[in-house]
Amino acid sequence: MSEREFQGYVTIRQKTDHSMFTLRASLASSKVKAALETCLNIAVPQRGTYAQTGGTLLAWMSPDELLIMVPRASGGVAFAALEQALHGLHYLLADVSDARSTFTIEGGSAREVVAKLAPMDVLAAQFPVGGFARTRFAQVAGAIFVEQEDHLNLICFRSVQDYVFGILCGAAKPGSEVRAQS
Amino acid sequence: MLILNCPYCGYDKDETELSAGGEAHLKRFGPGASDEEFEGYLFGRANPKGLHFERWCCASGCGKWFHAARCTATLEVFGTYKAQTLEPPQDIKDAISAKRPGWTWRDFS
Repeated sequence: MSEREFQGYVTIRQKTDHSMFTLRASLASSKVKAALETCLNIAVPQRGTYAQTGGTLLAWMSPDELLIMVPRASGGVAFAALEQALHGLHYLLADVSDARSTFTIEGGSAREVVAKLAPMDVLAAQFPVGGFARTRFAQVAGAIFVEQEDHLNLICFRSVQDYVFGILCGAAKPGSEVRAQS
Repeated sequence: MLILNCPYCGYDKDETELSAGGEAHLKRFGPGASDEEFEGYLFGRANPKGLHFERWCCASGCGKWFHAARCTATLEVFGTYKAQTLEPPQDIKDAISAKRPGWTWRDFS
């Protein structure tokens, strides 16, 4: 995996310091929730949001799917701990670290850059800090979440990471600002 | 441009993020059914100008299938609802009745 960075009117950076797991299980199940909370020390997030404690992140993907991100160094340990915590429950856990790529978009106009590429409403009123959504970026599927007002994260499939990096750089090109910067 | 609210993930989804799944509330006729019933299940579709119930998939979103009640002539959306139902919920029916009094669609009214 490659680290790369583009300095436009926002900063685009590829992040490679985490492992990523997909968990499919009923999020309505109190047993699943309890197992996750005990293991990760994070409450299962409400729909359309994510929760983060330390380096561990839990994101709501659908009524039966969670995305789990942990620091890469502790990925193996975390995966084994999750499997043990969920043992006996109806679930599917997969390590998708090598199947996904993550980019950070930092700068005062981060939302504007994303808005150029995605059909969803990324303005603060509809998509506040802590929001997590799956949508489309130009021609490919992906997910976006708001860490801070000027710091968004984008997740896409690794097979399209060069394409996504390209369109992000294009959208962040100096001189292509839609609104005057405040 | 059609914008539907996905009842599973709660986000307003643009038409380009969705996959159309055709007519909603079809009853499956499989083994043991008559030829007419099977043919109707496979090919018989309403194509109304006006109120229609459709299946949509939140394809670039949460991936769930949901139902939408909308008007094919004006693109007005009366509401969306989860797919785990055999007929539109009452609040959807009420929303349609408010705009299209006396509406009927197949066996629903």
